[in-house]
Amino acid sequence: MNLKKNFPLLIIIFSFLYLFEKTDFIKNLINTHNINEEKRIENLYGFCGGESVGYLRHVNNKLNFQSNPKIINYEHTPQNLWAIYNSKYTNSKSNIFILLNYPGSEINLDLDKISENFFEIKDTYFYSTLSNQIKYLYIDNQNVNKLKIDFYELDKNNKFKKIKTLELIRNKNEKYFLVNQELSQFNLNEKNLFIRLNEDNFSEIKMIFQNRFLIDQFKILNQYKNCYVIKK
Amino acid sequence: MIEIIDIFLLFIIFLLFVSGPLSIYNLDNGNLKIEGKLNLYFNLLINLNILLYLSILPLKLSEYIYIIYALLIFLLIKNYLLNLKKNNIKSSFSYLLIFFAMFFVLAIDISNKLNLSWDSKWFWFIKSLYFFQDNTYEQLSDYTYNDFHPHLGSYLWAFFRKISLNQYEYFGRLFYLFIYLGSLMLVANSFFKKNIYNSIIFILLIILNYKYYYFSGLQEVILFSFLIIISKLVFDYINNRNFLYLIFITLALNLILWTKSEGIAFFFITLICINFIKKIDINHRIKFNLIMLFFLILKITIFKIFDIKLNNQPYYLDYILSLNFDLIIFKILNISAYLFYYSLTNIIFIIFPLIILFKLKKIFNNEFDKFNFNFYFLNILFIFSAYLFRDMEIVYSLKTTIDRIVFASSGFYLLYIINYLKSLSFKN
Repeated sequence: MNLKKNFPLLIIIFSFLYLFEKTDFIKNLINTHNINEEKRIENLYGFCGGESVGYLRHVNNKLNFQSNPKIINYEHTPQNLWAIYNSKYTNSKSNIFILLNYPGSEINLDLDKISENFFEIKDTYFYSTLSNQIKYLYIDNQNVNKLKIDFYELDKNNKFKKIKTLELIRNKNEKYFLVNQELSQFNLNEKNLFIRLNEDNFSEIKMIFQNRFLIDQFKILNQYKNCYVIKK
Repeated sequence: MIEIIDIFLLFIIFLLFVSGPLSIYNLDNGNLKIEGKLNLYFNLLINLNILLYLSILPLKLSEYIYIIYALLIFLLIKNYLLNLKKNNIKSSFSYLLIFFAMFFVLAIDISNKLNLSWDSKWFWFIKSLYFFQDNTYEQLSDYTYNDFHPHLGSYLWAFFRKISLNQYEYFGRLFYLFIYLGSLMLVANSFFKKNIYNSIIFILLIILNYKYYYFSGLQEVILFSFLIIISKLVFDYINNRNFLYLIFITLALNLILWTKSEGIAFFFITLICINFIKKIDINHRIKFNLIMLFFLILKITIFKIFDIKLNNQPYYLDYILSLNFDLIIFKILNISAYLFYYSLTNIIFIIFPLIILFKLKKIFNNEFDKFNFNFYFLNILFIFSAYLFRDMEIVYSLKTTIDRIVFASSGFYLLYIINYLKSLSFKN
């Protein structure tokens, strides 16, 4: 074999092998051959968990929707109407809701600590689509019974601007501070909300939102684990 | 196995799509002598422009898709099969084999990863469903998010998905892969005279540049590929001053205009840069500018007819006037930081400014050097102004979009880099 003559060919072969390795070609080829597309989609997006595209396709085939149902996913993922969207029903209003990863009547959110007593409520806009109000606040120090919360947002100059103050009280035998703050009072878009407390003597802080969808108020058309199809 | 056969059949369909109306063996088009293989790209631009305007007519995709393919098969027979003896098919075979091998490896990668990006789920895929489910452009106007971006990429997604046997979603996206590989091959072919060495360059370019993310339904890969083709046409125009190249540049820019909102920036940047070419024939200049103006007015008119907003992005005069000094500085610092960071993750965007620095003194001696420098300067200016004047939280906006803008625009500089490397290798 003339190495000099075949050198370009060898480079091509090695480049191919590198690309095979980089893209996991053999494994991909076996998967494409052995697993059908529908199953691969389900493996990727989950059946009832994560984006739950498997469940969406399953109920779409089973219930044969006559409008595009509203999909509410309690895990923050990209919108997943694409999985079952029917463009013939663009303008039809739907009274069918698909709830994915339904957490129950309340939604718990652990807050991100920025400094000692300053916290970020991440994805506030997302939570505003699931809930109308912040119902409770929880801190893991039962000795604190009075709490002052200042709500902040970032202004156009990226500086914190105070938008609301609340004073909360809880009895010694109560676990949560009652907040009852309507989210509609805040001008929420992609901006996050922040809170400052007058206390920092605790290690855990949670915000509890009231779920907008209480399934006992709807007719359940289908259920698998915590994924539901409900009708008004 | 059927899925793998389908991928193979799709490749043949894509080839068919670029094999007509011009034959690659017909080197003389009247008085215009053009490189044979470039006809494949001319065919791509002609056919995509035809599809673009077909997509706007009140026709369902299933009503005409097979007619188009019947026409392409007719052209295939006319251009190639009837002159089989005259055509040197063998010379193209090794090219085709390598091209298919790369296509197959990456198509299998796409078939497994499958994941659609955030924007694809919001806009691009749902828009493609309108065409796939036999709705028309007029009905697409009913979709709430239609205003944000034009529809060409989504339409192509639906078109090539529809023609496949199994009609899986990702089959439509394989056409993006085909254009991407085609554009890289165009650049690679300009390096050496021997095909085998160019094939090495082609594979290396893929290894350095390919990421699945680009094929997750995002439209930037189409912009990237069209910009590569445009840079080659500009290069050929500068060297040959043949008006035919300018015509195809306008066709490619028209496609860019209908692919993404940002396309308008590349449309104007190229327009300005072409007008800066020295000693350009006055007839060419006038005709080129008129065709560009025609395409722009045509798009605006179509948008008006279908009641689509020309700009639904958050750019408002009130906001621009309200910008204060602190905010401008804050934004500029953030844009610079993120642009620098994301440039480091894109090999083309790192190398190009370095070459410019090396050649800074000679940059205005060569028209193609000057063109690329002007394009880069205006591109950077566009990136800064796009974020500066956008009424949106700047860090969020930068984090989610600037990598894609950098990738899309980097396509234009690839040929320049290849030419520079070529000049170095010849010196040595």
